[in-house]
Amino acid sequence: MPRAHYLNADHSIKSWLLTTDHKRIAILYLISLSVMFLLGGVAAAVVRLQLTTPHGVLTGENYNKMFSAHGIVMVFLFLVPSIPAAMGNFLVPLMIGARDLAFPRLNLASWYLYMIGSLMTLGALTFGGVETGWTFYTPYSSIYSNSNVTLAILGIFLAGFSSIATGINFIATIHKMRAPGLTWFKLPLFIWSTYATSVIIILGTPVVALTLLLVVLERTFGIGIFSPELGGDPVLFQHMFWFYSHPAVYIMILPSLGVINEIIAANTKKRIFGYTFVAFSSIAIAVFGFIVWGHHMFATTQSMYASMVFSVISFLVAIPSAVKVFNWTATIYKGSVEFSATMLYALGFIGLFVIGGLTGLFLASLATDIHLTATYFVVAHFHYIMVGGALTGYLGALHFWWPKMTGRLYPEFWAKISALILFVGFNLTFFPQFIAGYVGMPRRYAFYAPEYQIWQVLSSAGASVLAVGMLIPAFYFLWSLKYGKVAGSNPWGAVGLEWMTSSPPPTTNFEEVPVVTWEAYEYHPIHDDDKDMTVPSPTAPAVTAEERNAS
Amino acid sequence: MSLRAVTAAAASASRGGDHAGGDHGGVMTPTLYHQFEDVEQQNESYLVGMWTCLVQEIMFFGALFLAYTVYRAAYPATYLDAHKFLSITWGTVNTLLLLTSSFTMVMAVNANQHRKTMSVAAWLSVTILLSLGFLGVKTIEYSNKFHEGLWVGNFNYAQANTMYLQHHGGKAHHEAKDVYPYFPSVRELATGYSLNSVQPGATSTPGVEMTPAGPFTSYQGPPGDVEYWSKRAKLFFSLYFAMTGLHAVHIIIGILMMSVLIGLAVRKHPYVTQDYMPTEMVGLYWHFVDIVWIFLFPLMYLIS
Amino acid sequence: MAVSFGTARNPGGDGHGGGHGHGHRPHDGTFIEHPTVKLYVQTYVLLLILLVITVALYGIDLSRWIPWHGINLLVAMVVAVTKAYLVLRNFMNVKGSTRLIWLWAALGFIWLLLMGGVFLDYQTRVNPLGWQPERPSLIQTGPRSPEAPATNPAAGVATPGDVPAGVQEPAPEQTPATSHP
Repeated sequence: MPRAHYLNADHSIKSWLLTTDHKRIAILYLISLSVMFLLGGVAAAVVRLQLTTPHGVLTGENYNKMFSAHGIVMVFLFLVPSIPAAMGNFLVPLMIGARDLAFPRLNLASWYLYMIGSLMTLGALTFGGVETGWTFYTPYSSIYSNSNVTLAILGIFLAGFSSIATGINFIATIHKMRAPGLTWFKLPLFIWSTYATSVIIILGTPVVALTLLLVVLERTFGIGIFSPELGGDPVLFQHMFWFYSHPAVYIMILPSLGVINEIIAANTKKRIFGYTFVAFSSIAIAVFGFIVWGHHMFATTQSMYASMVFSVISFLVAIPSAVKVFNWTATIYKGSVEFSATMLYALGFIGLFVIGGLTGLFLASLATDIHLTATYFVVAHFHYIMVGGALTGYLGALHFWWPKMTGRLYPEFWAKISALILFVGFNLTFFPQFIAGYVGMPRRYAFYAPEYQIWQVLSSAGASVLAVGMLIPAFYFLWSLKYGKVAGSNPWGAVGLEWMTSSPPPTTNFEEVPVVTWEAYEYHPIHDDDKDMTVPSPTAPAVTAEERNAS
Repeated sequence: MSLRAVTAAAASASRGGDHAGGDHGGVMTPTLYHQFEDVEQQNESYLVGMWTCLVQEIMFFGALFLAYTVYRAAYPATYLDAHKFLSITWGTVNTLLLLTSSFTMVMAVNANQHRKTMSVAAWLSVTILLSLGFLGVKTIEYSNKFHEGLWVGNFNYAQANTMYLQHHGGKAHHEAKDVYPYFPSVRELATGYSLNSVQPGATSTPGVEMTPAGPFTSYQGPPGDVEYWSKRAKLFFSLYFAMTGLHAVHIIIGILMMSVLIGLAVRKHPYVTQDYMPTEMVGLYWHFVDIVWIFLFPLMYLIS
Repeated sequence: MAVSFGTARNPGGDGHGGGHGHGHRPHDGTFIEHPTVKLYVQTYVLLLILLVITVALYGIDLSRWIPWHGINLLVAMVVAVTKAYLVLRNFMNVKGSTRLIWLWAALGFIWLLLMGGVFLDYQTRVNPLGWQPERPSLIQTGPRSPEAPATNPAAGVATPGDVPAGVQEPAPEQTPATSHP
């Protein structure tokens, strides 16, 4: 480990709370996000406890508050920031060879906005709760609900602006601060995904911010934009809400898709097959994701003709995701595959993401959606994508870059065990929910007919296994901070600018600005003959200044 | 000198542009932050960042414009009728004030580029005065609405229409009824109930056949139903207050930012004396606020 | 093995930003021009003229010449777009900026139009704004036995301010039950 790096540069609280170093801000986010995840997980545990028996342990009202809390915390306070804020903040400057993001103080402001917003929302959820679900459908949320809707929404509003600030930062950085020689098509695919995510954030988040603000105005001042009594349309709220929230699910999954590229390339020691296609598929997902929002509203008064159009486009939006999956399988084929813990996460991701995506097609098709919408089928579908996809990607990213962030290696054996436990627990939790939904159990019901109980019991059993699988990494990550093996700058032998600096990196990331002359993922150097030995080769182990001086 | 040393020397010369005022023959030397290689990159990054922020603001206001458009397409009669309470004069004055403030703002940026710091402060002060005028006019309009009973908290369309008739000598020319026959007349709206065979307070007309509406012709409702249409007027005013209110909030934010700039200029702070980007970025924001009003004005006030 | 990184970016090192008011040269060869005061004044005057035109046209009912009820709105919007374009181009210097800025500015407005997809829904609804059914529900309510009278779906549907009671349905829309002899 280098003697001076970003973690031990200064130990005071002030240096952490007033830092502008993107790496430290990423660590701050990491800690907050872990707390949010824990709280959302506790709410999930209560939900699963309730659903184990048809009559449960909570009142209907309290159950509504529980699943609303679970949804709000997991979507707005965990998944939307997760990879961009924790990993993106850390990695984007490193991957493009910059010293920091374009606007470091804005970065710090975004963390504070996130913290204030989260605390407001958590306060609203704890002291009184919110019963509307994370979707805040009108007119219940705007007129009839007596719960803490206003405070919760204001917290989400601030968290949304934190998200936007992060997006602005990434866009400016990726456009303007790439190292010399690093053209767009030499960028790691994680950067492409992050860029697409940032574009979605910029174009979508303000719409939901405004929509939720209108709900607050209606509750506070009586400004009734969605009130049927005044001639307003509650479904307009749904249009405006889903105009963001569908792209939001792409905000949640795109960074994970980017992470998987990195993990697969490093574990197969191969260039990602079809790099250009994968890069453009991220952009395609971002664009197409904005024109399918109506598929959440097939069972409302939305016209049949609009629904048909949205249905067709929803089928099309699956194509870019499929492009990625095909390219990954082509990459793995005849690669030198290493079944490390990170690879297990990546492989699990591919399987679970495919299942989630395919079940989405059942929901995109109008006829089947009428039967399946608002049932547990939908719940299972989006959990396969969000947990099986986004969360798996997040955990994979955490494992993959943990050595870089902390300079320590986690115990590989326990990492593999927990990956497997997670996979088993996850499937046991959510696959029965597909069946429950198919045979007709509606979602968001506190009490249900006894015939569904078998599926709910299986699901709750799986949830306990899933929880174990999530807790084990918490332990060994913390353990590794003190007792883990010291990692070198490139423990995986991966290609990328972030692996060419020490672990943990110094505060200014690189000692000198690198000049990039190699392609992305150039595991087998293309221009072997005219190799200039003074220019760093991506496959040669990077040597830090200290190691150089020592020899 | 090695390549690295030359670069380092030039870089350190440009970092910390507050040394001796940086008077390199009339050229500004802004503070170069450590993450940037040179000032061009820094300036461009700030521009990209500010524009990204503006794109986000477009979507923010855009959602409100969407709601406006949906309801205008559905209830054109309501919009036509309700807008009679909006004063064209005040609206034009506001537009004039804001357009002028846009001009003075761009002159302030120009002055900053030419290193005329006190001109910057002067132009910015004029901009603030104009925008305070805008807010003043808005206050007058809002308080008028409050007294007429058009504020969403205590909405009383009958009272508003009564006062309207009083101000216009007992009759209204150019009624919405002229264009949309199913809409009640202003006199009916003032009384609060329909003048044909409907009981006061009743909200449906038994035995009256409705005009069938085809695919999206605007819903005409029971003819002459005053309470029905009064509620739709409240919808219009909800949108009016939401949109102009949000716009006014942005004006206030702009005023605060400009005050900060004036303070910096007066104190000869390098952010203004050595760099024109802060002023330019506030200028971009201000022009955006102006553009929103350019669209708000015809959509709200000039409905015909 | 010795590894060295090179700084290929600014061999000469120029830390001076443009400050002389006539643009500065970014490193990638594009040139950001700053307009002259004359252009600003011209733009301002044009904006004022357009404002006068907008207000004047409001007073004239254009649908007397072009028989479409939306013509006034269209004209007002065209003028507004022109004004916005002038502000964008000249005051905000989109014309003089890099292509990226131009792209962003255009994208923002274009993306706004995507929300117009909402009209895909509203324009094609059979019941405008959807939640006030003009025609009664086609779902049969009540028993379908021969002796029980078929429920008139239109009865009892009226809510205050909505469909007046007693509205007769055009024959084709009637449910099969009501045509039961």
